[in-house]
Amino acid sequence: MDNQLIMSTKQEALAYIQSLGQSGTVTRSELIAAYEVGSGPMPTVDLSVTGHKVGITEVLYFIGGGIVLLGIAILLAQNWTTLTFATKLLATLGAAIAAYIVGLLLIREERTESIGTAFHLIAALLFPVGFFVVLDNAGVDVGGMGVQSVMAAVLLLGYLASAYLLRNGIFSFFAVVYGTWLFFSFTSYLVGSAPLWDGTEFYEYRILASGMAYLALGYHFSSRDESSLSGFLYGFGILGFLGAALALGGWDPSQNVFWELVFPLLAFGTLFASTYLKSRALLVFGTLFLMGYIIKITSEYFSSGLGWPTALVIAGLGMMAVGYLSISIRNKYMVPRT
Amino acid sequence: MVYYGRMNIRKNAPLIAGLAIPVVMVLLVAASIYLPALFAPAPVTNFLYMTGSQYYYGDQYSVDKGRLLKIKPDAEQKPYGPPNNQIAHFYTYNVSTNTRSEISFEDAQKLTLDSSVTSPDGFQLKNGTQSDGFAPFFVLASEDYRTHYLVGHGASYKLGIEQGTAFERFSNDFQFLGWIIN
Repeated sequence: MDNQLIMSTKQEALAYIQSLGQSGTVTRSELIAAYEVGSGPMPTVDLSVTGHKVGITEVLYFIGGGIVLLGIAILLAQNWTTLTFATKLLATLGAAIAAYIVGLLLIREERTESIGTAFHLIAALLFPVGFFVVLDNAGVDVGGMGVQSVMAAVLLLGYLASAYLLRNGIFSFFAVVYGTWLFFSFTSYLVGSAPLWDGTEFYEYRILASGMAYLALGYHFSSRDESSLSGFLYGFGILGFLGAALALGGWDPSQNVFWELVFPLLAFGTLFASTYLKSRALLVFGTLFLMGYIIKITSEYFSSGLGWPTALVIAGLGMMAVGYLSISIRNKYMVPRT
Repeated sequence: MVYYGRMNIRKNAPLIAGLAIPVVMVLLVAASIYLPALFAPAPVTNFLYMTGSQYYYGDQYSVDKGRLLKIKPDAEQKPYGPPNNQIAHFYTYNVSTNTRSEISFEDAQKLTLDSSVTSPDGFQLKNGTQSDGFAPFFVLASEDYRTHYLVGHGASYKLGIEQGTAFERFSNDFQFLGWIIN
């Protein structure tokens, strides 16, 4: 009992938690998770393979936010030619600023944080539309990659500043979204219309790089207050990374041997990483892409030599082996033991 | 522990990696565009091209044994569409000054031409590319017939031939005839 803390009052417990928070020993999310374990299971819905759980109330908030956006979009689309510039501006950029301010006020309180997040969702999706309206009215070609790069950079800086000042995951999420937009639009702007590379391959390499960046950021956020972001980043990161790597392999006779040989190493590496990171997203996508690779290689190289039925048998056995490996990993490393 | 200012670099290594990957890729893309242009030899071989008179059954032009020829349409053949009223225009393109000069068919016939795909100094004439859509979702990636490039030795040089009409964007009115040997 030497190291056991004995706290007789609620005030002492709260003061101890405060000191843990100040020293950075325990993060907010870890504390909430510990509280939820102690207070029993919460009603939640598993929305995706990322394993990120969102409550029913949050789902309704986000659906409400989506309906608001839909209403604004229909209003603009139906009356685009008749609406004045001021009305368009008010309906887009004005609504975005209003939603951002309302969101700021609401996320300050714990009980209204979720609805505040829904308002930030509306704001973040309306800001680019508002910029488009302003630039379109000014006669700027809004489809140009240079203009898109400037808009993405402005929004990225705004959301990075918000994330830094307000320490809320929703700002980090949109900083990642706008950063991705900036990355794609700026690289397209640099290349312009020059026919230097195959357009599809260039696109695939950029998705590969984005996937790697998402995985690194997911790992960074996993040990911080924004840990809920890591599920999203791991899921989309591995989907982009393995998807691009598989696509870069191409197809016989114009296949890329390097990517075809490297891909199984990447897929097995993903399965190995899933045990270390305890990420179901990596396990699920690693397994699915390994199965996809087996089907691709079998149909590409063995269907004509061995015959299609034999190729199907090989592919089937390979998929069974991958499935068994995946379930073994999940049972050994991810299912909590009682 | 390695510290940079107040930031713990080892602790924030994944964040640094996540931010560095796209930045490095942007630098690589920029380097692969601009660096070859610094070291690649500049194009020196001028070329002859034409616009107009390429559709339906108008006069056709081609290069044979280094000379430009005019081929009259077959009088027996019935055209599918309206008769071609477009007039052929011939231009020499000076790659050093990036300018074009219109010349007559008779003057064009006096030139010695090489109709190979690659010029004697190792460049090819290519159309530009276009990506329509909202980054990163490019819904259409195709050739852009408005823009033309000389591509070779890892570098590309945009030519000052801009065809701006909506029709020309999706049609190939521009026709390369040959590299001017003398």
